[in-house]
Amino acid sequence: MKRLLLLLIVLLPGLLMHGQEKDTTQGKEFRYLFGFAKNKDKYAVINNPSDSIGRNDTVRLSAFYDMSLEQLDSIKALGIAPELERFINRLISVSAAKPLTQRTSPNIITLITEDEIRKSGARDLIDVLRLVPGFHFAQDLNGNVGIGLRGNWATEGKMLVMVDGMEINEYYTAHLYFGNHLPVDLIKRIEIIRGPGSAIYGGFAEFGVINIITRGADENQLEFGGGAGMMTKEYAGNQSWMHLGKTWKNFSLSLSSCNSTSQRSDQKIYSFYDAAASSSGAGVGDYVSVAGKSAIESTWSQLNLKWKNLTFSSLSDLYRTTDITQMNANRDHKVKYGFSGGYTELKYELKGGSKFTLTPKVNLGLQTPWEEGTPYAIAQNEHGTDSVNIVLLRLKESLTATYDFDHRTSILFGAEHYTDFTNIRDTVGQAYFTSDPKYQYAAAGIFGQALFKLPAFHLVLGARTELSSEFKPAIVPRIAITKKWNRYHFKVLLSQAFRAPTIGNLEQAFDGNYSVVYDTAGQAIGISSVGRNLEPERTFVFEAEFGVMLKNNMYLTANFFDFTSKDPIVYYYYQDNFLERTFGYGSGVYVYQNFPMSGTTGLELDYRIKGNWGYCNLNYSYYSVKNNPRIPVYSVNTFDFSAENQTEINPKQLLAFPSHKLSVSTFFDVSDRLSISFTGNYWSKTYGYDVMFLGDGYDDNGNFIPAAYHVSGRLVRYRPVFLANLYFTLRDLPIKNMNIGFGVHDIFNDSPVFIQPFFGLKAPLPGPSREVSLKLSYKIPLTKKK
Amino acid sequence: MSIRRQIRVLIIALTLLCQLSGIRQGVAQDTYYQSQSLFIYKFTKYIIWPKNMTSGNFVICVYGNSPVVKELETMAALKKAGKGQNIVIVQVQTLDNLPKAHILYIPSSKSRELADIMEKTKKAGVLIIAEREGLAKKGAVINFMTTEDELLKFEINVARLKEQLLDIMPELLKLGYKVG
Repeated sequence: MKRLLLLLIVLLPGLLMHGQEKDTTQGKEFRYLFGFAKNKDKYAVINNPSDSIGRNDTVRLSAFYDMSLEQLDSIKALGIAPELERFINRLISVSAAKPLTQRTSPNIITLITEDEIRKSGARDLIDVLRLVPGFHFAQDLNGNVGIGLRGNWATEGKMLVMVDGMEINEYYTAHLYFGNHLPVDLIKRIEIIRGPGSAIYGGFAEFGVINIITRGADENQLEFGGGAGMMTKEYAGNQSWMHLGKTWKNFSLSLSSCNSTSQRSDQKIYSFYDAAASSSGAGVGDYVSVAGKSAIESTWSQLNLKWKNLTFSSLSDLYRTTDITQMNANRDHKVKYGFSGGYTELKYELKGGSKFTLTPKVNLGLQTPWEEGTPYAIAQNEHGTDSVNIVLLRLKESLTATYDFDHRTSILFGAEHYTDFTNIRDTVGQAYFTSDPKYQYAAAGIFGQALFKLPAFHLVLGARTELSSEFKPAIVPRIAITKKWNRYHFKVLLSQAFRAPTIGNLEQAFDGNYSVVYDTAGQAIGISSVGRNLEPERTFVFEAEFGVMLKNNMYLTANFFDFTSKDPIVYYYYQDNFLERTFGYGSGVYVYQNFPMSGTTGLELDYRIKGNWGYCNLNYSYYSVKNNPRIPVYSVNTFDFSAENQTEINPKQLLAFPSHKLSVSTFFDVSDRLSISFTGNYWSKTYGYDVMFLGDGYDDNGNFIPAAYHVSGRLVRYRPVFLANLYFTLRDLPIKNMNIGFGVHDIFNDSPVFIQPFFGLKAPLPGPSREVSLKLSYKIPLTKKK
Repeated sequence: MSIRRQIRVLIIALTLLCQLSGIRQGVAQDTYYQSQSLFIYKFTKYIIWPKNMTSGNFVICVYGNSPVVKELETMAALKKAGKGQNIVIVQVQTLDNLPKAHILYIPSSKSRELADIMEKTKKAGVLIIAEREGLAKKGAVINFMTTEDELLKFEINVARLKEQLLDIMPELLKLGYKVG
């Protein structure tokens, strides 16, 4: 059945191409001169230059010649279907901080629209971003899920995530976690750079940028909704949300909120006992069902106000996850991690005529990342006798200036400065270093960009430099050549990018030298790194893209990429014999360290067909590391605590990331009221580590180890995964302005796991099983229809 | 898959795509030149030619081969230029045969001959229209261009327009990007 469905997906584009052959009459194509004709009031008059022309009527050419000059000003150069045209010609700012279309943006771009998100029935951002070429999710620490792309693990601050232009990566270590995080029903569109963005955005944008644009004031409506889901064994979760958008003459208001609770999974996991349970004889760990015990709670609220050119934005993101990778003696997962953040931005856009814009901006962010809610009863966990509590305040000032010399040449300059103030309350033992708990950190960035729309091609030259007292200046230039001609376009992109160390990285920086810290009683309580010897990671990226509009409603792009990172900053579990002797079997520390070099090479194909019947998006992505430098901590090696003793098993791919990935997203309007969406992912085999039970045995010193404590790790090859989701949407039912959506996620119950993408001994983190979900929404228009 | 093999796969895939896209290439060109013909028709109405050229046939000359000919012929069959002049489309293959025309259209393939064309049409009251971006700066009066969001626009060199003894109505000038 799965194979049949997969075959259908592969054949689907061809079938759709065949089905579209009939849409070739001259009359229907002439309507493509007016790409916006269907929906935009502004162009409504163009839709009907004379009484004889309607959207589907046979066109009388003479009527078009009589159009007004104003109408002529909106004539399209390219004959493509309005549905596709609206998609590919939507102006995107994320790539060059200047509105450009996907075809001319100096990056490899993915645009996800509100329509695609809502019609797919996506439960959270994982559902949405899994459909992006090259994107994949994997397990980070403490039962959290992070993101990677093109084979590169990026959740450690190498993927910048912004909401309406505001950075929401946590400032301490720059992580960002997914799974019931960031409400998808409040998103207007997502602009994604599937490649480096450091030349504009700095040190968190080394591998990619995700800019989430939320629903705005211009909707002029109040909408609220909710949903719930049921997995095969357990209630999956529920959510409720609202959005209010209203505009007046010079003022606009957007207010939204979402509250949701969900379960990470209802499957079994090998969970490790905390120190208290382990020392009282429970053993190392055991398999346990996390059904009903893996709560992820999220509360989101946002307020945007705009008065003329002054904008005030504020958002609050409270996110709390359950660490299901460890448990107490009662087999309960009591440890929770909180990642709370409050972000405020004040921005003014000063215009000097039509050519010059100056934008001063002040941002204030307050975060409590890695807040560990550990009840006292199990305080003897892996983090010692106290909880971690980090409070971090970032004050950021920035100034951006743009000047358009003419319609072909523009420049952009910007400067930003930020200061981080931290207060760390952390008396932990093995996992964190015992260093100065208060710390202040400042950095500044200067960036510039020139855009030349030359007759032969577009040329973008840009660079950014980041200055900090803690590391050497990082200078990253980029050059991009883009060209579109008629139905074709190509891009050649050369970029450097970097990952700037954060306070948390510097706190746990490690160069192989350390000393043990003892308490007053002479008990070893932690280690102290000799120096903060951590330099920015630098990546050189070459990308090339070719795109073509195969037909009036079909668009296809193919791109090649090659990443090479120098001095990659890697977070991993460091162990040696001395630490084991001092702190016990398996003891070590999680550290950040510069490694020599790493990289990936690959290609991606993205096919889209859009029409007034619906759409189909199909993409394929591939990466390999066979000819790239590799580092043991990410490589598919046999399990051994000592890297020297590991043997590489698969030199082509990296831990957790599949070499091949195929994604499909289709949507059909069955009738005015009913539509069906099918989304799916196939990814090839993956590798990761899992626990291995050695039975009764002896350690190196000849001491007996009972089976419950004699556990090691092993490399596991996981079978390919096929995720299929079906979702139905009923519009204006049972009453006007009410929508009902219901569907099944993971129809075949493949229940993919999240694998740890770096060396460590965390068993695979289970994901949700097959889930039936229901969503409802109702909107109230706030303006009278004219 | 080695890099060489990846590149080979990519090239094969792109070749197939180009073949597929070729199926509908004609339609793309049709639309592009349909759009151009709508502009050219408006030029006949909003550009002011010397008085001695406002009677008789309105001659649009296309130098070389271009799909625009077909669209201009359609326009000529349906509409009249200026204040009622019949539109005549003339296609020439050499500069020696240039007729006295109101508009001279230079397809991309003939862009390199712009200097010769300018030499031969000095003060001849001819509106030289090019389709390659940037040519207005180099001496054509008008060249077509496309914006970011695929709107068809034009650049206009007003100095060259005056040299050709032509004038333009402000409402049309407003639509163009002035260069030169």
